[in-house]
Amino acid sequence: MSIQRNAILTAATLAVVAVFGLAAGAARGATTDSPQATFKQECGACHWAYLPALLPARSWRAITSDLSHHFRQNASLDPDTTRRITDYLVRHAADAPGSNHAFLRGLSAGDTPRRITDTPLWRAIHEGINPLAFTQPKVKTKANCMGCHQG
Amino acid sequence: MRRIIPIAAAACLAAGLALTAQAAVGPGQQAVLDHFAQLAKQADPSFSGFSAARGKAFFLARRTTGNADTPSCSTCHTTDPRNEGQTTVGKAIAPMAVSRTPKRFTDLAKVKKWLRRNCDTVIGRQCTPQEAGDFITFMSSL
Repeated sequence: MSIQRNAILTAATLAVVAVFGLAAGAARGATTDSPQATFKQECGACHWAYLPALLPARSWRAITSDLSHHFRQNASLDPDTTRRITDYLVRHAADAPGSNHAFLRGLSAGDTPRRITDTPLWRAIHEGINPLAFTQPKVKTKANCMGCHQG
Repeated sequence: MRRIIPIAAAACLAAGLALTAQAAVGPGQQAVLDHFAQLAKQADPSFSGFSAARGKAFFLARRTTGNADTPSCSTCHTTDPRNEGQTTVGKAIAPMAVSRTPKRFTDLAKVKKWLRRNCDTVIGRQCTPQEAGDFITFMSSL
């Protein structure tokens, strides 16, 4: 564990805390019929409603453009709801103006990750974690952020 | 006159038992079931109603035609729909049984959305109106 790696991880952790903090602030301003509420209701029905700043806009567009084949599951929505959610995600994506850009770090412009776990920052932060930690019953999968990060 | 009272009492009791058997089917579920009954009749003129037993078999069946991660409804919803379930990524799902989650199957658009998604994911095709009605009847019977 080099000093340099420690510094990277500290920076990364601070960045993630900042991203999560922004989300908490945004949540306070949400109303029941806001685009954010639609996103949380629809996407959050199956998984934690991932923060938009964890992926660039091009990734969110790629994901919402084919919800019938969403990580081997059919998660299709009507066109209006899909558009509303896409607009929200793109407006608050990692590369949107005013967003926390931490998750763009190390990501080349040609990369369109479909999974947050494929971003260089996610990999750097989670490097060295025993793989068994991700498959324990409480967590099940790397996709379940809150299996570890909550409480 | 005296004889009428026991008969009336028996009739009330019978009605009460019938209600108990269908206790969980509220007006909301009935409207959704009526919708699928109408579609089932259109698809098959010999349609003779929905069955909780068929719905149970449908719910528990293990499939090989859909996503291998989710071979059965019970993969996520557990084999007893009165239990809380869990999605493949660890999010809790409220029990499917109407007795535990009274709002289940009262919003037709929501029912159609989840059938469209989950029938495709689990079975690899859309469910028939007969299957949908049997499933909801089973969930309403628990």
